[in-house]
Amino acid sequence: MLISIDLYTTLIPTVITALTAVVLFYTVSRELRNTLAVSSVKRISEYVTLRCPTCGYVKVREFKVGDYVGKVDDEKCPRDGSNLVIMGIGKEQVSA
Amino acid sequence: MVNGSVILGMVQVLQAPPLNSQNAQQYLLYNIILLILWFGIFPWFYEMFQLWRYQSQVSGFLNRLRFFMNNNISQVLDFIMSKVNEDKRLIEGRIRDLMEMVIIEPTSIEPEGLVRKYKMLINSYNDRLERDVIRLIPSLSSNRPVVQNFTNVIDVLRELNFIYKVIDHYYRLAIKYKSYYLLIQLAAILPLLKEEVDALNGSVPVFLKGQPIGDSAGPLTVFRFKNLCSNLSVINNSVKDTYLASCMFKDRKVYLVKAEGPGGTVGHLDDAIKYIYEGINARPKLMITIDAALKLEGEESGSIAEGLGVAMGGIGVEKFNIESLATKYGTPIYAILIKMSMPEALNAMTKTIDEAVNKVVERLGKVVEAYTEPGDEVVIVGVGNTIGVAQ
Repeated sequence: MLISIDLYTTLIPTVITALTAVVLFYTVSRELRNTLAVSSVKRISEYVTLRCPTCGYVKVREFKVGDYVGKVDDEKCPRDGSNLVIMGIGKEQVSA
Repeated sequence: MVNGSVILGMVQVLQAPPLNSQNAQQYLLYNIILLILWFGIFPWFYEMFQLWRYQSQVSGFLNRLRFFMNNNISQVLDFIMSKVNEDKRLIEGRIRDLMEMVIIEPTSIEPEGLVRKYKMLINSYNDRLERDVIRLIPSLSSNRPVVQNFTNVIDVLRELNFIYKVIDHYYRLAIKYKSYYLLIQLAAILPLLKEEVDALNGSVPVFLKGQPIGDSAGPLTVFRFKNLCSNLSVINNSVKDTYLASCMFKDRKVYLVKAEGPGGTVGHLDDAIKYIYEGINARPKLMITIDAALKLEGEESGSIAEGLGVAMGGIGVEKFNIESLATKYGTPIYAILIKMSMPEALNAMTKTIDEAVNKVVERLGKVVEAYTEPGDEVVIVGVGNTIGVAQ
């Protein structure tokens, strides 16, 4: 019977406490890692890729409402003066 | 290997003096109480705690979803109020009415003509929604792309509303009948629903701005492939919201099919392909479909997979019609898939997907060269929502 008293009063609570501590530590550290990973990303950049249809000159600028792929932009090619065409619109995460 | 101190402890236990009757009774009582605690009270507490945990998870999800919906409705209202001068409450009421719109599926007791019924229903739904949007914002009637984008926004709001109502229904049932297992099932699907809801929520501002989304990868591929062709000529046709053109690529005549942008629409690709076969009387030797596909967790975003068959999601009406045409005229169907997650498919196109489209354009050229001969005709279909992608 002595062994059962030791089990109930000492061993099981100790094991349960230890396991709880391990699980809590793991959960908290994982949450912390996730939070830090998210907070390290500062902003999302929305970009537009423009290309000159004649010489292939490529330029990237910020997205403006009204832009769409295939739109002939007002901006001219610095090489031959042709209007640049929007070839792609995308977003990427940029860290500051 | 057995530890020496453990053996010593066991020997001490065996050598312990026998207990007297009073102590034995106390120990028995003590053990009974512990037994009741461990197997009667603690499991009950555990179950209560679990129930409370699942309940708070589901109710938290519903609160979050309600917040998302209200926030999105506010964004939409701001957009509308910048275009019309009407009572805000009236407009909000109309938006909420549109969110409640129900589509009743045709009966499948008699499967004959089911695809045609679905097609008619989808077309009616799209027309009705567009008309309702124009009624809501009459000043947009001349700007079709914005109307189409706004129709997509209403679609997203409807979807969010539907998810909210279904989850709320089962949550209330679980509480009403204290059904532990119903609540567990709801809690189990929450992570998947959260991903979908986050994706839908993030798509509203993207649709309002008219930016290309991940699902636009197919139409964008066709747009970029067009630049590699020569002798491009647009084929005038009566197919609504669908772009059809022909061009020459390495001595092959290529028919390009995609939804007509830059408004948010998926077009009527099956009707355009039917027009190629039966309107122009072309006999393509190969049909290539390019679409965005949901990736599995282990797959990388922007990875490309090739295969056979029509790459197309949705209910399957257009897929069925294209398969039927290809079967009738004996055209092999090739598929190129761009893998992405659901949030990527519904949100602004990421740089990874944008770069993957360039790789697909290269592969497309190689596939056309490898599987057809000079002089052959080929159909290239860019499947997906063409929002933010013109032609």
